[in-house]
Amino acid sequence: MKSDEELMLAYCGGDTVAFGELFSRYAPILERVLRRFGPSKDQLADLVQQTFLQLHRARNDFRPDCELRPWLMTIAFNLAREQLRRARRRPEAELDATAEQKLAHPPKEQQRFEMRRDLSRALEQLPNDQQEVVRLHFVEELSFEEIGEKVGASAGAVRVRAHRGYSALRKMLSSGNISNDIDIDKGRGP
Amino acid sequence: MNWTCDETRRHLLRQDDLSEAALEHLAQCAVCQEMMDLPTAIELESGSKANADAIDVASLMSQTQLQLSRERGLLAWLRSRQTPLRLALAVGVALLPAAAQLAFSLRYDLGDYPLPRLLLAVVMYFAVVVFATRTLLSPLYRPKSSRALRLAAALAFGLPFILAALAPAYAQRASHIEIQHSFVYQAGVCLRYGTWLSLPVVLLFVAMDRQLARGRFFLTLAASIGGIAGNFALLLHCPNEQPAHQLLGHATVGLVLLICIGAAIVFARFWSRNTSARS
Repeated sequence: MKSDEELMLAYCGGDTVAFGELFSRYAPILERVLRRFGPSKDQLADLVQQTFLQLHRARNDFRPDCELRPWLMTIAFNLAREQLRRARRRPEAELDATAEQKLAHPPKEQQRFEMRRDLSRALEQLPNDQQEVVRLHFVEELSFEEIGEKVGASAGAVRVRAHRGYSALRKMLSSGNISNDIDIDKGRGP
Repeated sequence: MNWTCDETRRHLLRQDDLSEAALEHLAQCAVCQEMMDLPTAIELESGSKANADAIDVASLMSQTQLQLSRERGLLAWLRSRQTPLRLALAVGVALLPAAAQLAFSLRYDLGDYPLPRLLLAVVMYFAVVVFATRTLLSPLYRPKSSRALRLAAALAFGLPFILAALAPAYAQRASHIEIQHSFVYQAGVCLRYGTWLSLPVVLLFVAMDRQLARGRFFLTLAASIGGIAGNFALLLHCPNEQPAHQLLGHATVGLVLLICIGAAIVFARFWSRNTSARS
């Protein structure tokens, strides 16, 4: 399977099939991430579409030594920010409707349990230094400075560990490649 | 940085109010970008809604491809150039009106003008044009700071007013134009001349931008860069050094351009509302 960067380079060279592959890979990811900011379905579709339009317009700026994912995510977040700013100036009922819809669908305990279990298992599979930092940051909600003081490292070093840890977690969770041999309760943190 | 990391995490875990600061932070923080894609209990809160409201990827892809097929012509070509080339082109275009004055319509008293003052003005105009253009046409895959955008807009809008408010560069004799025409007439002539010269600059900046709908800071910045282009040209064209004339006839070029852009937007909205109401 071609990497994202290989596909992007192929697209820059005029391969439209590569664009389709990139769209199929990233549209669901963008949808999932951008949904957290509460846009309506139309706004969400528009954001995803605009992100790929920007990708197209900026394709000649793409360098082979860059990773595509942060590139695309930054575009999406910048677009979402502008949309949010516009929505603030012209408030629409859609945002409230989204919030109401969210309340109308209570969480499912089974799903919640499975997600927590997967997350805990994936967390257990991280190297110790990354696991500790992610647990302190994500579960205990400490700042990077506080974590640095606790683990005896600089805030910058802690950030790097957290980035590696989150990246590894995301890859494990999206590939479903999580070992089942781990006790769930161990993963919840102190 | 840490406050916004915390803010982003809070948003993720508790789904607090929508936060523009969190989005600005996400665009520049690799750690939070990764964290944002992790499943959390919050995701479950909206999980059933997400399933019900999931966008149709295949249909969206065909719509996007249709939109991309329309990306043709000179504007699409300009927008898709590499960013350094776009910036060089834009700065070149912003300096064109001044270059045209230099070549075809240079003020007659330039020899009397104090060289250090002239160089100072030229360097300041050039530096602000470069900074503002870089901020304005910065690609979306780079983190964007709203503070930089505000600073660039304030600098580009304010610089002509600051330079115009300075004391005259040297003691002049009144020219025949000053003797023959009223103050308002002279200011009006310069304002019209500067605005016409800089209007194509603003239009080209808007055309070279890769985004479709932009906010007020973007438009203020585009108009202000046009204003600087006009003021730079007027510096090399108009011999009237009186601060009142400079303030009313030169420095306000950016303001007039901004009003023109605002009027164009209002007209476009009115037009599209009327068209959609009719259809």
